Amino acid sequence: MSTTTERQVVEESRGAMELSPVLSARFALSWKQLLVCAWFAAFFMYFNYIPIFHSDIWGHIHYGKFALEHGHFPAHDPFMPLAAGMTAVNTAWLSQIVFAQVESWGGPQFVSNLFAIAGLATYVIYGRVFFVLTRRLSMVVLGTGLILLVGWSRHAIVRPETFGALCFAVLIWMVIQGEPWRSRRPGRRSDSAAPARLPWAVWIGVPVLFALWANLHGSFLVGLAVLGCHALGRVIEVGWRSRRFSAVLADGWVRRWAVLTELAVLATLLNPVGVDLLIESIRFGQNPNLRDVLEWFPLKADSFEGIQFGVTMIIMLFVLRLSRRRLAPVDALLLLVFGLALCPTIRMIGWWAPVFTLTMMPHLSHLWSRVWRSKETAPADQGAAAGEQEEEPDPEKPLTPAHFLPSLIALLVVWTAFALSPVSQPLLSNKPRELEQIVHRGTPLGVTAWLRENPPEKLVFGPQWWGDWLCWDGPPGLQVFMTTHIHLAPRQVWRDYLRIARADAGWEQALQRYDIDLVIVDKELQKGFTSRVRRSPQWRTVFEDERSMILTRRERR
Amino acid sequence: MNAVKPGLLASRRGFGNIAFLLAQLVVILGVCGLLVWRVRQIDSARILPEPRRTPLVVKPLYNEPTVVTDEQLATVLEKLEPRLRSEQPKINHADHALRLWGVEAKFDAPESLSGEELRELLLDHRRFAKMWLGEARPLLIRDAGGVRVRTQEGAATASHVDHTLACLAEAGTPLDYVVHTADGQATLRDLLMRSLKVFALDQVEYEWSSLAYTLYLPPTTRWYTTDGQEITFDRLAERLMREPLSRGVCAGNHRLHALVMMLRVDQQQRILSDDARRRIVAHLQDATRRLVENQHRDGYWDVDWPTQPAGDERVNAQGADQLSKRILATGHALEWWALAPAETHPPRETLVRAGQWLVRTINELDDKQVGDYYTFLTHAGRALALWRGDFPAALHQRLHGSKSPPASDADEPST
Repeated sequence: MSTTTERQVVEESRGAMELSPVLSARFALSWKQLLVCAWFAAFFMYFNYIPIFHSDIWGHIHYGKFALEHGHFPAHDPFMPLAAGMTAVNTAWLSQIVFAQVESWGGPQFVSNLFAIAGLATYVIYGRVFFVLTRRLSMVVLGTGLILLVGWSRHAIVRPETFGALCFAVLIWMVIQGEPWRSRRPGRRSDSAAPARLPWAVWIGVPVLFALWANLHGSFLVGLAVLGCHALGRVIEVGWRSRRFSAVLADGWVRRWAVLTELAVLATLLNPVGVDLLIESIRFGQNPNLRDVLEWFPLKADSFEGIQFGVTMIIMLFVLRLSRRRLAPVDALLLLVFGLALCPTIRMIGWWAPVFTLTMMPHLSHLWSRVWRSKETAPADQGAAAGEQEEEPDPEKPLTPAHFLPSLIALLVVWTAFALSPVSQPLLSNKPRELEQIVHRGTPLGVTAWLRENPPEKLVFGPQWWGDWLCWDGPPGLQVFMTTHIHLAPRQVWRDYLRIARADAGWEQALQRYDIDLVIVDKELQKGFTSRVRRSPQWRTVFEDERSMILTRRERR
Repeated sequence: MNAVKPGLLASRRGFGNIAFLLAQLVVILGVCGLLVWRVRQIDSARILPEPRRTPLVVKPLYNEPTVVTDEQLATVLEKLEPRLRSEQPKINHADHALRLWGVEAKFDAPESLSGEELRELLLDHRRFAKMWLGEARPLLIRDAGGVRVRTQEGAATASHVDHTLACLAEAGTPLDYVVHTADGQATLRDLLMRSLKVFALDQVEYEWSSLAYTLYLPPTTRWYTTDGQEITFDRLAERLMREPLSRGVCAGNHRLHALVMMLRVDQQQRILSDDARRRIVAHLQDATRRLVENQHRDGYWDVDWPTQPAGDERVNAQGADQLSKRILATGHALEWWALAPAETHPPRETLVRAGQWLVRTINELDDKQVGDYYTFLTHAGRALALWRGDFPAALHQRLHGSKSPPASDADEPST
């Protein structure tokens, strides 16, 4: 009797020690998935610590604050009196409201948090896109890494474009539901494999996305270009194949892409200024003032963006040469349109990066298969399907606690990334970061502190890239010669700004003409002007730190 | 039962294709049409303003014999006759003379150009070429924007941006006046429209553009520059008042003159807001206060009048340049006061001392000095005439009985 009882106790205790899984296999991450998780956690941490650049973001927040306080946006730039009378169509009003509201809740730290979350979301969506297209986690890492590298010069700027980039990623996520992406997915070899239709979510999602996008940022045009390329690409594809116009008209995907593009265009009209937004967005890049600003420079081979673009071209030629997959007309059109758009203005590199990666993804995946699975019997282009199976635990094998180890580590990684990021500060009550840690080191904190103590009564001259910050952080009512809204500056004002900022001939007369008695200098980026204004007997230095300098006119009139 | 004949199916497909195609055309053309319509609407709101045919006239308001007597004025005006019938008369002399004398002026002296001849010299290339033999470059240049006056390129060109245009406006030249360029015929309107096309609020010289627009554009009160900047007379006034008083051509006096003209035109056609009007008056009063403070006991000012009392040093041969500057500063101030509202005036003794100093000084000038200082002297001469309640040509005719036209129909000036 006692022997039997002891045996039962031992067996029961053994049973209690053997853990049986409660969660299903889908919660058991593989080691590869853990690596992807760590990759995005690193992304998140990185985005969290990107300092807010001293550029237009402060102007956007200021505009948003103005709108929140007054119930409307200003008709003219309220911070740049020399732009009085220049009509402004606000192409980012919703972003400005969002930024201003977030800033009012938690200051610059919350703005930084918002950027980090939006940035992470953008890259996670791209990651999802690449996984859907290839079923390879390695392609997720490669693809998102490529986007980051190719668009390096654009990724760290906190501005309404951040939301535009997020919208672009969402759009790409939607468009891969259709052709030619649908047919390229592993396991779906042809149009006939599944019903050729777009999910209703896409029919509803695309117009909603564009209605939102048009109010967030003027970059919605690139989204329209993507849809247009799909419509036209399909037309070319069907037309080339059938050589019949009627076949083009009858093709379901031609119709779907065409209607979807039209719905998107119509959705962009849902904004406070209606069709004017479309017109302004199209005309915006034609503003001659922009040609003097770095991000609007044309593409040159020896520029950073030129080298980036050149490298992508080499990669593209290499990939296309080795890939056995055909380049669909949509791919070619996307590459052509976005490549050409990059030539006149390097800021398009930010949109070129995802388009390039997206179009290369099927080919890269194919090459990956050939390189890593050449020994397998499965044909190379079926490798992706095999890869998909590889990422999940074998359903035949019983789950053991060891299966959940990567998941636990992933949770730890996610928590660590969260806990170490400033975004966790409100929850974990970490010490808030100082302003100096949140904003870019080039932000003239000392200048605005001095200006608050000595508020100028008249127009102030400073570098345009500091203009928004000066108005935001300086004394109330401060008016500057130029902000980053250079497209609002009359041509003469912009030319005079350049003359002064570059210390070209006649810079002192120009300062007199605008009745300027106080000049702010960025010593790092305006070396010529710094030297000239220092030497001028008309000016005396009243403030100086490592980066900046304030000078006032010796003889005030 | 549900079987559809192949022909019917094909027909349905064909109909579907056509319907799809038509729908696409409707949508695409509709969106494009909307865009084109709206772009045209936006652009049409930004076309250049329609000017009036004849410029507004701003007449003198006061008659103060204590500033200058009839006899003194007669002597001064005789001295300032436009003796420009020489070879290669300076263009800035011609347009200043036109502004002083007007187009209807005629003179007994054979070397003096009549008002009409002066205008022809400026607006008819044939006369210009005749008087400027050997000068290859024409004064009037036709380009895509209209017609422009060659400026700041020597004696055969105008001295300031839109100076000639403003002089023609003050001389009452209508915009349909025929202009002969080297490339054919145009009208004065082409000069004005070209000026409006290239105008920028912050351009270096804007005083004469502002003056010309003040006389030619009302009742239009707002328009757009090519850059898309909305211009109003309030905004022009702000621009004119932005810089320190001493800045600008002729010691800043042209800016004050343009402001006075705006105030006076505003009395005829409402072009200013109440706030702008108040600000202009306050600005002019500030200028007057400084002028009163810094006037020399003899009656003159130096060019640094806004900040410095006029100097005591005597003018001699070496100081001739100083004398011309004093004539400039004093003549210009007396001129804009002559047209300004009384609330902006200095005490009468300030005016009298200034007027009498000008009379004495001009009388002492020899012919060479008159030639050298002619542009400044035209302002002084015009100022003295305006303080006697009429334009110079009418007063000259009355005082000398010359061929000049009878007294203008200026409002009865106050004394």
